[in-house]
Amino acid sequence: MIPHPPSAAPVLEVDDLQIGVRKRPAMQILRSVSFKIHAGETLAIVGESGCGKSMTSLAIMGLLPDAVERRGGSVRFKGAELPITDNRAMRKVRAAQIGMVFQEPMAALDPLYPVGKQVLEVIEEHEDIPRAKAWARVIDLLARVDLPNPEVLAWSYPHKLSGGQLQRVVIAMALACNPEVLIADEPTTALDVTVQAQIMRLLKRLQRDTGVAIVLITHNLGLVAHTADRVMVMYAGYKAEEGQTRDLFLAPRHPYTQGLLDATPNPDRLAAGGGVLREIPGTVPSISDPMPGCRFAPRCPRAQEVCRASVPGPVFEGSHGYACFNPVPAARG
Amino acid sequence: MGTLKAFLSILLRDWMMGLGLLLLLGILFMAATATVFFPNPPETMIGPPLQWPGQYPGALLGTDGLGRDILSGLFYGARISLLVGFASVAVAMVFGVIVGALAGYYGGWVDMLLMRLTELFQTIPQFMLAIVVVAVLGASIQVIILSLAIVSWPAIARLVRGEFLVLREKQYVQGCIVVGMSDPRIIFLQILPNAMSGVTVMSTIMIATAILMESALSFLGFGDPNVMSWGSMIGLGKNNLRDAWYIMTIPGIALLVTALALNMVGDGLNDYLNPRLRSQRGSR
Amino acid sequence: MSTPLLSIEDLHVSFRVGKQMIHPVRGISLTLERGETLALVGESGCGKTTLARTILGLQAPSAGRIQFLGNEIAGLDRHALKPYRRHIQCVFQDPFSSLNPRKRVEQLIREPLDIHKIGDPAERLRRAHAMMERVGLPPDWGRRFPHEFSGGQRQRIGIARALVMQPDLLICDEPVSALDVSIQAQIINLLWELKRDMGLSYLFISHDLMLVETFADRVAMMYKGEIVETGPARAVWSNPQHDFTRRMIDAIPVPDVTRPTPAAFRIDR
Repeated sequence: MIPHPPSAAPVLEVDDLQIGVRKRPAMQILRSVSFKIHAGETLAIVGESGCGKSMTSLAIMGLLPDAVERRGGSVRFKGAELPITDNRAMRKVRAAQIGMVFQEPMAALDPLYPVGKQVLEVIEEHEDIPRAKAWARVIDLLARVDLPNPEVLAWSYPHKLSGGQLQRVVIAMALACNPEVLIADEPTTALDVTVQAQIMRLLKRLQRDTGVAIVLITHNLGLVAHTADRVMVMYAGYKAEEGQTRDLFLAPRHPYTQGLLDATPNPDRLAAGGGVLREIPGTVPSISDPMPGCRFAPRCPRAQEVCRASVPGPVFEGSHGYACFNPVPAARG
Repeated sequence: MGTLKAFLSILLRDWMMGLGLLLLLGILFMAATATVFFPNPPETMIGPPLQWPGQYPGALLGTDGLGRDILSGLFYGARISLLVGFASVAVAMVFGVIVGALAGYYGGWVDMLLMRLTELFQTIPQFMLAIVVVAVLGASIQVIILSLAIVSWPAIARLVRGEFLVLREKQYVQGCIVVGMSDPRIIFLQILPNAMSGVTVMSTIMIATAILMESALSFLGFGDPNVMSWGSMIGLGKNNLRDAWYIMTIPGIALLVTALALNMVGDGLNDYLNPRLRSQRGSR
Repeated sequence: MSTPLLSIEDLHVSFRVGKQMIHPVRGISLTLERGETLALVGESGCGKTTLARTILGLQAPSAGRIQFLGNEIAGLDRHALKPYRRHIQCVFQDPFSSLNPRKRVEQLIREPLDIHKIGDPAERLRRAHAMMERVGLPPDWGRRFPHEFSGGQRQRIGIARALVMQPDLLICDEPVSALDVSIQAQIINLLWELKRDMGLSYLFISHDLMLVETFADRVAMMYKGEIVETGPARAVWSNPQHDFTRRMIDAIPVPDVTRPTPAAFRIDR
């Protein structure tokens, strides 16, 4: 909960981003996504698979697959628009301005090179400094991500390291050139719960020390509750709700957010006698489903006639915004 | 029905495969109608020797050094080529699939033993091995089919083994064991259908190779002396290469077209059966 | 005292991976009573999946006993094990690789009946369709192939296939860990209803203590091939005894902002 003056300029701003499948006008992956993030802040993007959260991160990094195209909107870094569809131009942005951590650390590393070399490569790609100086920085980075014996470990090959250690190396690579934004796409999903805590604590500590803004993409609401300052909930390619973490968890307004919270196992809310979780019926609609209204309407317990007829626009109450015609009442337990 | 429709739509999109199939159908037509158009055996002398195509009215594509009709030879030769190609690959497939499936499914010493055997066959140059088999067992069409099957099966066995190594680790295979299914049923009814797409593609290409090898054998005089094949036609034509090059060239073109057609079909099948492309179409 | 449904005594499993001998299960004993849900919880590599595979006869034990209703089944060969297959079934983790992609759904579900020659073909198909209905799939989708279904629906197909022979014991190996939260809740609820209606017993293998807390009767915590703690789910959660359990619970982020952030996540400002 890093406070920032309302006037401070956001470090990253996504405005009405729309992405669809090339040559398939009906297939719309992102319908409209907007958000801002400030220095030192952690924004969690939450949603289930198929909601577009990973596509959002790929778009920001300029890593959109060939099969998809931008249909509208923009991504701005410190006020300047990023050329997200220009792969060559984006190479300068990646790592130097925006770093990224992926779900599978093994897939982000080359099995044929020692991990230290791979961190070194990132530095040399972006900065013109002597090899010895760059190598000293690699060792320093590996130490900063709490890897033991960095001088020795730098020469290890990826398969010699555990999943948690690999993710630390990937974090070191992502932060090698001091980016101002870090996108972490399900960074702990492949890890054990104790290792997950270590990695999240590492990210938060690095954030405290460097002021990097973190976009945390996850489906784990528990993780969000304890690590994010703000939350954006996505559903089927649009932003369903956004707000301060505390507001959103204590008084969710969008029925989807409410449904997600209810479906998540929570020992504190256990019904007497144990048993049934509250489920959301049905599944996420296909990206090509041409339904006219709110895309959550078919699964929504609060859906009305208007929800099936037109798309709800965002409604803001202070910093808490939601896209719903019939929101959950604000005063809740 | 759905499969047929999907297949037709692939044909429409993939003109290469369509052309390949069309050519293949043409060759099949030649083989099927040889006796209809040419009631006399292809060895019959129908006119003066060394007539260029168009020169002698009775032989559209001319005659060879002995006055035999080249067009008739092409039709009858198509029979031999297709028979040898399909039959040898079919035999190789039965053997290769069984060896590869057992090796890949059981692993361990079974795999060790079967793969050493496979390698033994693969280390001997294919064509030399085929010649040796024909030389030892005598030149007949059955022996040629057998010899080509012997040189072809190891490649199929290796491919099937590779597929089985991957597929046997799938959870559905463990599910079948847990349900109480027997090994033969798991191997042949559960895993094999999933492994067949690669084998199908490979076998089309192998048919082309077998046809070419049969021609090479015939060219060198190891063919069945009782039948007329494209290879033996080329072999006989080499004596008149300077003055009547068409005698070699015409069956040569037939061979080229057949091999090309089979390869085009194989490439098309690869696109159609490739599980990655398929799952892309299958998923949301 | 009645015989427990499943009882395991001092079970050891070791096998060779490459040149190395590994020993993933090191002397495990546990019992499962009829109608009970026992959750086996541990981190990756703790041996929980190997234990499940050994009970299912997919992996031979190196020592110890596995008794099903008093009958020894450890180390039986495939043929001798077949009569027990009807009674012990399993649901796998991966909804994508656990169904043969070339079989139609109704074929997949009736296959176990075919193998054990239960009923005539018409009866088998009828039971497959009834089972589809029971797990929430329209029976007229039976002619479709697995790839036409979503992950959650495929897990329903896997459950229908496992339950079509009306087994006593269902071993669930991380059946919801590949699914989204809302779908996870659907599948957990389905398993819960099926257990109530069919009198099943579950051995539920998971890495998610918070999830099993909500529906398991008992929890067994597994760490490095051994069971380090076992007890009623609530007791393990609220009063963990073993150091590993405590460390795990301390690292689990509960989705509740009014709770203090777990110590494992806290940093000094």
